[in-house]
Amino acid sequence: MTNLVTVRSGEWPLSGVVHTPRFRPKRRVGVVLLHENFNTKFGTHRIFYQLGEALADNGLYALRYDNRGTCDSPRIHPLTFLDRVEDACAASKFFMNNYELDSMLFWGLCMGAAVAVHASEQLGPERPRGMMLCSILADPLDASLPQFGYAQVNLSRFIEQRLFRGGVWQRTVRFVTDRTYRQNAYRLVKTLLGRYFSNGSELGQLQSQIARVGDLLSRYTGPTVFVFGDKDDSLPTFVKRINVDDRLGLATRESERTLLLIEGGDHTFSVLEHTQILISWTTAWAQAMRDGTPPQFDHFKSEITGGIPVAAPAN
Amino acid sequence: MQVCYFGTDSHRLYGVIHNDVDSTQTALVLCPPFAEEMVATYARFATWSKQLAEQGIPVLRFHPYGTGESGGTSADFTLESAIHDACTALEFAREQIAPVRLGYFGVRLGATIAVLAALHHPVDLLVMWSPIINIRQYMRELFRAQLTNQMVHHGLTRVGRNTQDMILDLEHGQSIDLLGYEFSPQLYREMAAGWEWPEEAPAKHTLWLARTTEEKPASVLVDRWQASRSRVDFTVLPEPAFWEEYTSVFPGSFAATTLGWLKQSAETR
Repeated sequence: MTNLVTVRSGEWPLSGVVHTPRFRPKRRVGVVLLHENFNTKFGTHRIFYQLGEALADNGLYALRYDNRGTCDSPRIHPLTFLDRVEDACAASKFFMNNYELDSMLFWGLCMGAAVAVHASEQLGPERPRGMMLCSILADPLDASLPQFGYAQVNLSRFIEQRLFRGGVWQRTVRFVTDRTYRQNAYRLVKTLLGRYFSNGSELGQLQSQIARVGDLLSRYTGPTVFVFGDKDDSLPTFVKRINVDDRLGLATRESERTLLLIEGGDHTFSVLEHTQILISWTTAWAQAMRDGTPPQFDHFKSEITGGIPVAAPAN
Repeated sequence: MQVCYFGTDSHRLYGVIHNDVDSTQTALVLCPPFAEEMVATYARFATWSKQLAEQGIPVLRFHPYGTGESGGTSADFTLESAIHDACTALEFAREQIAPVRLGYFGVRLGATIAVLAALHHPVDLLVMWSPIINIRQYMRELFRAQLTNQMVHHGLTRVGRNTQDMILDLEHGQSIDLLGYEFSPQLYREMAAGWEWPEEAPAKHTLWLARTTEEKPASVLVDRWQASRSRVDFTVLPEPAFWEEYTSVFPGSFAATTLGWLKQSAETR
């Protein structure tokens, strides 16, 4: 069952949807689903809608909402990262109080995962009991904004990825012979120039907030599950830049932090099979958290993660 | 602004009404584009609907069954169902907003669905942005996008299933994965069958906005419609394929032309 709700975040009304279980469960646990950048609450290929339905089918509550002044929420507002964090805090308090939850969990995708980490810090004692963070945006160099079409806006990253990766000769030949390639190159250069000649304060603020994610993660003490697709570009970034020398303790046996990989998965798990795997992992994790039994994982080594053990839910 | 469900319990639809005035001359029902195009443009059309409402033009945005916040799974989305939903949304808008003139505003496949729905329930106005003229070709483009997605985002050097394999699955009654959406055999049959555009415009007053690359096929149909009694305004504008990317860039010339047209047509009715 779904209820349309209005969450108050300061002076802002947020339009939300709560998925409720068919029968009142013994322990009431809710999951706040935090969507990615510049998107709406049902998400790319309806992943958040499907998650909400699956969680409710498994006796859990789920809340999705649109940020202030965007999509189905009233009024128009140029949303900042800190607005998102405030909205997430307001949404989790609303959810706890209005649905009389025993505990609450965060589930975030990409920027939504970064918002979850910031909000968990701000909530203090009301922080979520656990977090599942998918394709987390934790490197400021990856942070971009819709006005830049989400293109990379950092010059050094651009040069590294666009000019030095792959064959330079091949790229030169394509530039000369392929009109579409030239058009794309022109668009990228235009984006970069636009970024460097624009005021840039909004992007600068976003990047400084994203830069704090790694540190905040290391301070969060609740169980945390990271999920990546092994074809997602943000995975090597996470391994090399955020979890440097395993500062998050993913390789430690007693650690409550776990890394799950979906084989062949991309940034948003945009294959039906991958979406279903992600949904089943999420419901299993949330049920385990509700029942007070730590989620069980089988660990195995992976070359992709540079020796950090990767896990899969135990059968 | 009102967020609500409408339709029936077994076929529940989700809608958002943007209405800042007590009584109104003109109101629109927004028929969204299909699949990821709907997601990529969602925030932008929500913002524009709010801006239209501020200008005294209420808008009902709705999600066809099997999409967005409406009931059903993506496999439940079919052309027949989407046309039915557009008609339901029109009636709902008539009840809730009660405008003097009511019409559809459709984008891409949503525009095509709006035309088909208007054939069932005639409307006063029809605004179309880059409608899909050839549904069969559009389906082939969707299949190609699925292959490109496999190559680019999943790092494959060879695709696992090519277009022919996808068609075979569909013809054997199996759904396929199309960019994370379940694409049903029923939708395939409807799209593969194609459809003939009507000889006359299905609204009293039509605005058709096309991008430069769409001019040639669109103008053939516009000529036919203009030869009928209906008033059809056709404008070609140099806009990018705004539905392809997640960005905040809005097709400003489409928006300005539409707003001017809506205001002018309200005055000259």
